[in-house]
Amino acid sequence: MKFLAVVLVLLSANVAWAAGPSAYEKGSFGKIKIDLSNRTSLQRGAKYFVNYCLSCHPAQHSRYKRVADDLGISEDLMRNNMIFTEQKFGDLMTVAMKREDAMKWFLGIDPPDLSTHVRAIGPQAVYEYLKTFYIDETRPFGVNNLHLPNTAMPHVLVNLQGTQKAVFHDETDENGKEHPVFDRFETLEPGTLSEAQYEQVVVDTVNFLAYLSEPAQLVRKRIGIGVLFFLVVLGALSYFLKKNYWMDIH
Amino acid sequence: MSGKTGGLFGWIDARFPLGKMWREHVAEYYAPKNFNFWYFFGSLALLVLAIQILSGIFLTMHYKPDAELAFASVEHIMRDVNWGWLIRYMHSTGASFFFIVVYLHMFRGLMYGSFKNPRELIWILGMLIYVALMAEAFMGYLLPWGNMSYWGAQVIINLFNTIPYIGEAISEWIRGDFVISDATLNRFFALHVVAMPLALLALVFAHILALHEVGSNNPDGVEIKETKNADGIPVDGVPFHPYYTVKDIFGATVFLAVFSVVVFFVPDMYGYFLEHANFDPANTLNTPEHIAPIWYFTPFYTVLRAIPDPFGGFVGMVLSIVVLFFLPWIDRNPIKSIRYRSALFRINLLVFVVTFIILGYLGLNAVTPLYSQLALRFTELYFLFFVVLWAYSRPHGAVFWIGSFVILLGGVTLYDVFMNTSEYPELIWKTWIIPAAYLVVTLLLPLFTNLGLEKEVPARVTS
Amino acid sequence: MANDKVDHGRRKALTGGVAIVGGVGAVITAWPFVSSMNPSASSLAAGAPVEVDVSKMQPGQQIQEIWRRKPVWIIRRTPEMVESLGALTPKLRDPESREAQQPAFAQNEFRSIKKEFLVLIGICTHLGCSPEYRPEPGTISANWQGGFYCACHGSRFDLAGRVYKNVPANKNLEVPPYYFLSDGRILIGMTKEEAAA
Repeated sequence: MKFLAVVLVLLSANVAWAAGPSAYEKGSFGKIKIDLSNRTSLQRGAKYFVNYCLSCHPAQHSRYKRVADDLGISEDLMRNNMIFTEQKFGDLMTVAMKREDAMKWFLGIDPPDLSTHVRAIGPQAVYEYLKTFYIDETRPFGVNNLHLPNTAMPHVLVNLQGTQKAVFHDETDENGKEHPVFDRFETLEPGTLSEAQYEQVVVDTVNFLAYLSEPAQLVRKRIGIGVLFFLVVLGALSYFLKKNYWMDIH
Repeated sequence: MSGKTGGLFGWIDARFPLGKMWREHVAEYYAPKNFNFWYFFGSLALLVLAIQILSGIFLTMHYKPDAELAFASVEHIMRDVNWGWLIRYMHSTGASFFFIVVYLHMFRGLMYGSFKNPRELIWILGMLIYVALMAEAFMGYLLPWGNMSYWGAQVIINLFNTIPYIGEAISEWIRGDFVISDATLNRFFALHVVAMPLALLALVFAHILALHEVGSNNPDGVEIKETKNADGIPVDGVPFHPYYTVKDIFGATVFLAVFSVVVFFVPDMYGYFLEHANFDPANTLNTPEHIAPIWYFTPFYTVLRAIPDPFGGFVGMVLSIVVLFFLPWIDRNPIKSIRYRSALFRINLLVFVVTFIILGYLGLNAVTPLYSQLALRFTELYFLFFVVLWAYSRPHGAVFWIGSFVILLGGVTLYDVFMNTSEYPELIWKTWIIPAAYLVVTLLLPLFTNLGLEKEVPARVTS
Repeated sequence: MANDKVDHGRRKALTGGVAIVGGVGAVITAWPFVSSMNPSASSLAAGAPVEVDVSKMQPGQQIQEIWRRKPVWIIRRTPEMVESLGALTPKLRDPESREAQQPAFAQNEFRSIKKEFLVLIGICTHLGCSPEYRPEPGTISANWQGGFYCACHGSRFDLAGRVYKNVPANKNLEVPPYYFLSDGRILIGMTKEEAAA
């Protein structure tokens, strides 16, 4: 069709309008591969989550018991090592911190609920966020973030990762404006973990968060295969039934 | 039924027209024997309606229509309720599949002229079902109380603000508040779970009753009732049961397989069936970066955005739906089926389908200068389709074709000269080619080619 | 239109096959919907076993706990109360607790693990009112020995929750599953065997 061709030409000629300047190339810190069949990774992720995230971020739609059941964590282990408040095993994973306090500490931002927010932004965003903290003395907690500039969150994993600084250079866009563009990170002080170990911590945590955003993922595909298998059988039978009846019709 | 039947069935049948209904609407309802693939979607729409009602009843058992509790109650369904995730995914996937099935069903009607005499009322009832379905889907989309639910509803209801003088009063009346709030959620819940389903069921009932009164159309667009045998039974008809029941069972199974692939493997359909921003709870202070309606509304949303004047856009959007009601009086060509109509009719219909899809695509995306011009052009194509369709109703002379070409392209051009607000003149004339090319093909080609020739309709169905 | 070549046996078999496979599918599909009406994880969490500290209870004192949204009473019986139970046998409907209103461990005269501590679900077995604890002899009637009195319809129970004859209720008060975590701590909602499993 002629007009379709025109549309395609126009589309390709004008894509530049849609793209804006970005400080760094998304995905340049690697792509997270979510593997929900890796139970030990999920268990480690759960441990990091309750230790580093849950003191401020609630997972208020998820229950400790569900996490324990799904990930094969025993009730005793969960009670003794992963529930730090007065909460019970069957309770929702809320935080003790009052919302008003959180708003005060974190520049008026309520730490988002991590049982649903990760599904809204996707695991890759969390993965890049956790890897791109850098020292910035102009910020209240002394750190800034490449993925989420001017983030209100401190770098809670700083002891593990160590500190790094970001190096930028300026680039001029087609309108003659200068933008800082990210070059690289430079390590200032190493943390307690090696780079590979820290990567694993981030992967495990994000893996767990991906699970937490939809626990039904662990079963739904498996059930789906069974359902499809059943429908193929029923479909074949009903196809032959239909054919058999329609032999009457000429 | 001839003679008496005993047993419980006989007892009931003497008091209630069970057997009569079965015979009239199923066992002795004669449907044309040449139904093809496109004739599955009517029964599939019924199947989806049943899925939605069943899953909806069970969701209602756990859902809380309260602004403070709604979002958490949906997550409660997804996590705490046994199989709640399955029931919810069935419902959310069912909503999108309802529209897929209904759009294909309507396209079938366009192809085979199923809206034409004597089936005008079936078409109108069907359009009423479609509008009721849009209202049902729109109100249902608010219920999860996610951030997209909230802002989507906010934007759409604010459309009523553009009506002069009474607009604000109307939108406040719809919301029951000055913004979307608990009051809105509560009434949308009532309408979504009680009022609209009742209306839908009544309309579907009337739609089927009207269909069975006049009989089904078919891919040849031939009336099977005109050729009957000695017993008064249409020669080209087959009893709906068992022939179409077994066929529809097969169709339903294939449909359920496709449906299950989405439910179990990609329930959010990459953000098209469940928008990602909706996994954050409604936040009255924080608009999602990019608000797009759910995909089945986006063609009309693009029409809205294509017209810069707010009230004009609103009127355009309403007209784009209202015009469909008048289809039986727009397309007055006596030939029903696409099989015997001209090549130009086929091209026109194909362009309309592509236009509808492009309008839908544009509505999902943020406005850029290019996209806003394309939105305008395809909106023009959307409405021009109906004009061309009307023109194809009967043969015309050269004066008519050239005259209507000049008037329509002149109208499009005048709009560009006086009312097109784009700041990029190059884009205006470049995209002007789209309606111009469309009008050249559809209005001038009948003059120079035989693409406008129609075929002879056979007396009986062909296959 | 009937065709002689149509294989009616095959048609019957296929119809039966579709009906059976489709029927099985319908039943399997019904299961998630039926199951969704069972108590959800939040109801189960709210109904989880409850731990109670009874070490500081005074003799004769009653405390009330909530388990599965029902009132559960714990009464620390005095030695006199315990002694009085034996004499009531002829006045009671089911003095030996034959009806299954208690776990096996409480099928005894005291209807408890330890004589001293009585644990009961505080719901009248007549129509579900919550009876009152009336330990003082002679208060409900002249020969009242102390027990539980349901004001709704006048049902009476002794200090082991056993129902009197000739009252509307016809079953003893229910004893919930429970066990002693230690001397002064009771877990209500689970027997020792269930906890070990």
